Amino acid sequence: MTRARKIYFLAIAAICIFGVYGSLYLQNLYLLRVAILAVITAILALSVDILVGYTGQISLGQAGFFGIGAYVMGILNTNFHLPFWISLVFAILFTGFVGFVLGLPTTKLKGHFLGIATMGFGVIVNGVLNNWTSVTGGPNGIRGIETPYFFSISLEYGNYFLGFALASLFVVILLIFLIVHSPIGRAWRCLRQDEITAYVAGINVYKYKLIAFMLSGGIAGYAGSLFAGYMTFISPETFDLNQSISLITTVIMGGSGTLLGPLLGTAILSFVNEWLRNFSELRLVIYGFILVTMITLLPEGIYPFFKRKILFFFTSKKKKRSIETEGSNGKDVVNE
Amino acid sequence: MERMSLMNKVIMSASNISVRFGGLWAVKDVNMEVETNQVHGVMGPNGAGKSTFLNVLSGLQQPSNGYLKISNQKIVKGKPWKMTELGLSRSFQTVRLLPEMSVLENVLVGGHLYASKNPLNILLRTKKYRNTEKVLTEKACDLLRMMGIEAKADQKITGLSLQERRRVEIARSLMTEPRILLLDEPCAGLNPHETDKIAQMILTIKSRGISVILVEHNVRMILSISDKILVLDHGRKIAEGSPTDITKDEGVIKAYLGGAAHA
Repeated sequence: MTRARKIYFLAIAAICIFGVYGSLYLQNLYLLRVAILAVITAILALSVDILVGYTGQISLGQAGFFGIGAYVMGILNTNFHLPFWISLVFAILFTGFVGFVLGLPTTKLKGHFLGIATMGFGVIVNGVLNNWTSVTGGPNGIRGIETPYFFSISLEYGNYFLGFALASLFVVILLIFLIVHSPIGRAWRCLRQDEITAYVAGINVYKYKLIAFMLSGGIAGYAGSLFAGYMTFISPETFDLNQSISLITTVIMGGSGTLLGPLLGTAILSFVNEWLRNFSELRLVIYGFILVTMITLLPEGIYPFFKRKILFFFTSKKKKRSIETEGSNGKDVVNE
Repeated sequence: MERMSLMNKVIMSASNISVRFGGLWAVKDVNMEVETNQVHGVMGPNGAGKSTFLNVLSGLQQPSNGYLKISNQKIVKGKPWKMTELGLSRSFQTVRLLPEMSVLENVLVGGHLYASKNPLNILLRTKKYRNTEKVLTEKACDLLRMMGIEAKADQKITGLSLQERRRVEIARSLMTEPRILLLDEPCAGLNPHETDKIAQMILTIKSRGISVILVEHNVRMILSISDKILVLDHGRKIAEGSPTDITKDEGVIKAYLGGAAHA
């Protein structure tokens, strides 16, 4: 078991290193741009997954965190001339703090009400970005954000930026992996499935929801800063309700509550979205059709579905039988 | 003599607990004292307020009136997780387990209070972190062994029978290292043979120095293992005492058999 795990980890580490290394050789500028935006979206999708997948708290305002991260970066970098990296730290801390503040009232809410509250948060942030012209520049946005240097390597070159973004993505994955496979992650999964069980297990449910909101906010803020650094120009329309909804769709389609699901969802949706540009006006119709089909056929998500199929394919016949009977047993007694 | 008095120390008391739902007093002025090393039964007909009373004790329901005292600490509005921290753990009549987790993980959830939750330890996977996790896992395995379900540790909850689920739930409660364990109808839906096994298990738990508050419909079982019984009817305490006293009590007979029965 431990040996298999070690091999698994080494394989993933190898994939990470090759991914970062390989990104330096991507020649097509258009593809490069799509890939960088996809990686940033993947980080965002993971931040949504913390709330939606692991903690079971619906978040329809993730674009709010994304936008705050980008704007903190933009404002500190252009108005206060702080270097990129210091602005980045502030952006993460500030979005984490906003996550905390948002969490204070919303941790008491559940289901639809939480959805409405987080959606309200996203709309408010968008409204502020649009209307607080003296600080945010209003609809004109902020221009001239510095693209960072990473130890004297200018990330202005798309390849280097992609490498950096991929490395950040892997760090975020590792971070989430470590937290999810710890008592904190256990508490999250527990309160997602049953809050009363969490209560009697001695878990302070509100505290753990707050931690999830803070972490999710911080990671989304990081993605926002990356976005600002890459685009060098930000404006409010990127951070609207559509963005939040498409993020949550990505996560649910890929498979919420898993690490690979959101990544897979992002990869598929980003590239499908680009490919559909060939169909001009029909694009959104086909996109919608694909989403509906996916959700109907694979409601659990793409990654969990294929994982189950592949694992099932490799299990012995004897075990298969026991799994089948276990499943039918479950149906009999589960309705409590 | 002194040793005797030490053994029967009151570790929890409930004073004038009342709960009102609209115009109805679900529980009214109930007092109770739980001593160390005791199985304290709570019985009563349907709708007597047993479950509400238990919810108050475990902090899931705020009393309209009255307060609890656990080892000399007064609690007026108890948060459920605080009650667990104070050494009070409970099971539920309809078993509450986490269907997506394995049996072992379900028990491990109960060890939350003792787990290493320091972010630095978690991110660096320090030796301290790995040790506490290992100790917790071993403890969970021990409890599963005590419950006789260690063979199913890696299974999902969905494959377990009702009795096994009850055992997992009790193991999870014990994982919080309680001084008082509240069992809400642990024998509901079980056959007589399984009921006897659960009764045995309750006595084992008691022998480990944990007081048990037992709510049960099975009168024979509750009378056989309780040291002291509280009887509720319409939210009020109608009797309290040893099992033999209870069976002779006029009020109890009336509540259970109805009318002016002379048993």
